[in-house]
Amino acid sequence: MADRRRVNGPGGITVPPIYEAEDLPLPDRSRQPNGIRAQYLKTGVTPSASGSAYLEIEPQNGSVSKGMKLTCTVHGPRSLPRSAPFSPHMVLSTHVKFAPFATRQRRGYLRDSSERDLSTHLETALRGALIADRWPKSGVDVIVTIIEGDQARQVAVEQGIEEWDMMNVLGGCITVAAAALADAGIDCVDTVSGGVAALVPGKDGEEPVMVLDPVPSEHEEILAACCVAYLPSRDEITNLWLKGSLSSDANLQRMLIARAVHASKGSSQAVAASLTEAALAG
Amino acid sequence: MAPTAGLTRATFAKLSPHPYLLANLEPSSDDVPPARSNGRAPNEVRPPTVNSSSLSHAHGSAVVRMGDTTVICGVRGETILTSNIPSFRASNNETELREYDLLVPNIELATGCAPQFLPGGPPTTLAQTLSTRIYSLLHSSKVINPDNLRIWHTGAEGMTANEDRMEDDAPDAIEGEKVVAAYWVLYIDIFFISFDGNPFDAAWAATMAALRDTKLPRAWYDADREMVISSRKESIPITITNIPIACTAVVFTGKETDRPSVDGKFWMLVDPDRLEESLCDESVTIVVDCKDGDTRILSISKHGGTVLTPTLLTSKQFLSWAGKRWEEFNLAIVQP
Amino acid sequence: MASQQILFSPAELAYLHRSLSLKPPIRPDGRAPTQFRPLTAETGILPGTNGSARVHFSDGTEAIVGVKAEIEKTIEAPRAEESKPESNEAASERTRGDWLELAVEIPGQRDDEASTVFLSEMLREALLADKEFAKKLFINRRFHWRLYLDVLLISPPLSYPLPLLSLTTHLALLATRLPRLKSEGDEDPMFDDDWEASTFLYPQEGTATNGSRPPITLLVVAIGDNVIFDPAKEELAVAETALAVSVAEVRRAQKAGDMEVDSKGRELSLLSIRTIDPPSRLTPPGVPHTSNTGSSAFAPTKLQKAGDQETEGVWKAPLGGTKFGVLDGIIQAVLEKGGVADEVLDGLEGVELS
Repeated sequence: MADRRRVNGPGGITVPPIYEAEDLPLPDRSRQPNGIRAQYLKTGVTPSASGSAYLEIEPQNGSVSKGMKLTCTVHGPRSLPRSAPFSPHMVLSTHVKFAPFATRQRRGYLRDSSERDLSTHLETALRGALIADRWPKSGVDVIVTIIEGDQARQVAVEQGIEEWDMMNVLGGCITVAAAALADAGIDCVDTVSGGVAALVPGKDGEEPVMVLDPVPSEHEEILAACCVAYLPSRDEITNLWLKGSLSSDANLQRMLIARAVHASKGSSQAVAASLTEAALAG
Repeated sequence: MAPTAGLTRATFAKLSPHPYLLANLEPSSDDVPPARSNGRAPNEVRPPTVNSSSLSHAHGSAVVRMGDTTVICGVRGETILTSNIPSFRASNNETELREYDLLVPNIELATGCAPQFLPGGPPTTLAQTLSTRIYSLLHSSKVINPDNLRIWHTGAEGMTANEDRMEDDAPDAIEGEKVVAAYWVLYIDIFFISFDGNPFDAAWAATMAALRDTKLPRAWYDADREMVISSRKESIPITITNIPIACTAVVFTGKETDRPSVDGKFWMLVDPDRLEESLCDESVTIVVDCKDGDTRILSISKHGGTVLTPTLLTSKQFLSWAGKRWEEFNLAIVQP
Repeated sequence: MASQQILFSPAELAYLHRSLSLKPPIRPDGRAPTQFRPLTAETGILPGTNGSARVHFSDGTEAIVGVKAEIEKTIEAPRAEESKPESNEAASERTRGDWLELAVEIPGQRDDEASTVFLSEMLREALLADKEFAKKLFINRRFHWRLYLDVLLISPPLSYPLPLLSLTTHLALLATRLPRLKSEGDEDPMFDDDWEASTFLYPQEGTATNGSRPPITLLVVAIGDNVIFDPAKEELAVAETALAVSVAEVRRAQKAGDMEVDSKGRELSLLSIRTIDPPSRLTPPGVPHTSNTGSSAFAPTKLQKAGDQETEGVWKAPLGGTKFGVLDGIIQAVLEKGGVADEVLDGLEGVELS
C-alpha cells in the first residue's frame, strides 16, 4: 500500500537508468594493503542536538569509490517517558538510516532489514563504551544518517557485494557516533572507533592478502571481512562482526581481527584530532 | 535585561523567551537599536551558502545552509515508459508534469535535526505540509520544462505500424514518426541535517539549487527490448532559467496569544529561527522571481493570526525584502 | 535482547557470577561448561513442506522450521548490451543471495523488531557466507529455486533462542528434498512427481556429500576466565561477553588410497562471528554496605569513591569491551577439533531424516 503521508510519484513502475555496455575498467586498489583512506571528522554540525558529528571518508583519486558521508545526532540524556519502566541505567536507542540518494539504488523511506541490523550492531558497539549507570532513568537517542554510501557500481548490486559494503558503513557509523557522543558530553570509558579489514584473493593466483579499510568494488572478490569497534586506551573490543568463509586455520581469523583493530586505530586518531580541535576552539 | 532578578541573560531567555524577545525589540534606552534575541535586526536575514554537486549517486544535489539550518537535497532521475502510465495521451503536452506525477519531492525531518524530530514514527505534520507545499510550488511555478523529461523515440524504418500494434502496451512508433516513449521521473529527496527555523525557504532553495545542478544521462528507447537505455558518457543538464525564491517572515505581537496587542504594535521578523517560530503564530511566505528589475509574485501564503493587512502584504517595504532575498540566493546558487 | 527483562536481584547476580567464575565453573543446572542442554529432535513433521524439523530443549523451549521451495524465473540482470550466451558455469556463478528468504517469528515480538531482525540476519548470513549454498538453488540459466525458510519459536522465549533456532534450521535443511529435475538444459523445468525420487538439498551419501554442510550457530559466553557454551538465561545475565559463532562442516573428497579415515577429523570452517549485546549490561548494580546511606552518615563521600571501583561480592554491570585474548579463546574453543561443535554435529547426525 502506498504511504499516503509522503509524495509517492507515478503509479506505474519507474526504473533507475540502465546504462549501455559497461566498459568501465576494474579499478585496482592503489593504496598499500595497510593504508586506510583519509577521514575528515567535524563535531557540532547540528547545534540544536546535544551532540552531533559529521564524518567524511575521502574519495580516492582514480577510483570508483566516492567515499562516504555520514552525520550523527545525539539527543539526550533526557528523562524517559512516564510509561517506560524504571531503568537503573541510561537507555540507549540507535537508529541508522540511509538517505534515498545514498546508494546506487534509491532507498525507500521505511527502514529495511539491513538498516535495522546495522542499528543493532551499533547499539552493541556503543553500549560497551557508555558508562550507563551514571544516568539512571534517562534515555539517549543516537541517530546516524548515511548521506552517501560507498558502493559505486551496478555490478556491486548484481554480485551481492553490497553486503560487504555494510561492514564499511558500520565502521563509519561507529566512529561518527562515538564522536557525537563525546560532543554531547556523555560519559564513556573511551571513544570507541570502527575499523574494517578484509581477506581478498591475491593477484595472479597468489596467496590471499589482508587489506585494511577495503573498498569492495576495488576487489574481484572478498573472501572474508571483519569489522570491530575498538576502545584504544583499554585495548578492548566492544563489537565484533566477522563474516566469510574461513578455514579452521586459527591464525587467519586471529590476523583478520588484529588487522581490523589496526584499522580502527587509524579512525581513532581522526576522532581524537577532531575532538581536540573542537575543545581548543572552545 | 533583568538585573534585579539575578538571572543571566541566557537563563532569562530560556525561562521566559517571550518577554526576553520583547525586551530586545523594545530596548529601554534609545541608544540601543532594536534587535532580536539572536542579535539580528528584525529584517536581517541569515546569509545563505550553497554548495552543489557534492553527492555522487544523485543526478543533482545541493547543500544549503542558512545559519544553523542545513538542508541537503538530492535529485535522482528514474524512467517510466509511457505504456506504464495509465492516463497517457500522446496529444498531451501541456500538463504532463502534473498529470503523470513526474516530480516527487519528499522532505525528511526525522533525522534528529532538532530534538522534536526523532525517527521512529510516521512523517510529522510539518514534514507532510512542507512536502506538499514544495510539490505544488514546483508545479505551479513551472520552473521545469517538460521537454527536459521527455525521452523520444523515432519509429524504426521497415517496421509497419501493424506489427507494432500487436504489442498493445508498446508505444506506437509509426515509421519515421517521433513519439515520446518514456519520461524521466525526478525523485527530489530533501533531508534536514540541522534545523533552526524557516524550513520552507531552505528546502525550496535547496530544491532549486539541486535541480539547477541536475544532469540527466542522454537516454533513448530500445524498441527490441522495450526499455530505456542511458548513456554513461553524455548527460544533458536540465534547463532552469528562473530561480524563484521564498521569503518567510513571522509576526511577533509581544503577547503569548494570537490576539493583537492593545496598542496594535507588532514586529515582522524575517527568516525566523526555531525559537522565534515557536513564539509567533502568524507567518507569511512570499515566493518571488525577479527579472530585469521586475518582481513577479508566484505565491503568497499566510497562516494564523489577523495582524497582517492586505496593504502591508503588497507594500513596497515587504516586497523589497523579498527582492533582496531573491538576489542573495540567486547569487549564492548561480555562483557557488 | 535488551528488551528481555532481567528479573534477578544484584545479590543473585553476584552469586551467579562468582560460582560461574570458579574453576571449574558451577552452572546452575549442573552442566559442564561445554555441555549442551539435552534436546529432542525430529524431522519431516510437516508434510506440506520440502523439509522440516522440530527441536525441543529440556528447558521447555521449542522451535519448528519449515522449508518451502518454489521455482522462480531468474530475472536477467538489466544489462544494456545483448547478453552473450554464457556457459552454464558462468551463469551459476551469478547466483544471488536473495533467492533465500528467511523469516523468524518469536512469540510476543513484532517481526520488524531490531532483535528479531538481528536473529534472522545472523542465520541468513551464516547460510550465505558459504557460497556453495546459493549454487544449490540453481536450476538452469532461466530458472532457480527460491527457498523460503520459516523459523518459528513456538514456546515463549525463555532464553536467548539463537542456538535452538540455528540447530532446528540445520536439521530442516538437511531434511530438505527437491523434486528430481527431468528436463535438460535451459528449457522450462519439468520435475519428477515421484517424491521417492527427489534429491536431498544436502546429499546424504556418495561422493556428492563433499562440500559444505549447513551451518550451526553456537552461543558462547565468557564469564571471568571461563568459556561457557549454550548459556541458560541466568548465565547470560551475568556474562561479560557473548558471541554467536557460526561454523559449518566441510567434507573433502577422500582419495582412494587414503585409508586413514579419522572419524573425528571433521573439518570445520568459520562462517561468521557476531557480538551479542549481553543483557548483563542492563542489570541493576548492587550497593556496597559501606556506601549505604542508611547505615553511615559519611555515605555521600564514600559513594563517589565506591562508584568507580568494584567491591568484592557486590554486583556491578560489566563495563567496556572484551580483550582480544578472551575473544580468541572463545573462537578457539568453538573450532577445536573434537570440541563442542563436533559434539553437536555428531548428535545432530544421529537424527533420522525422514
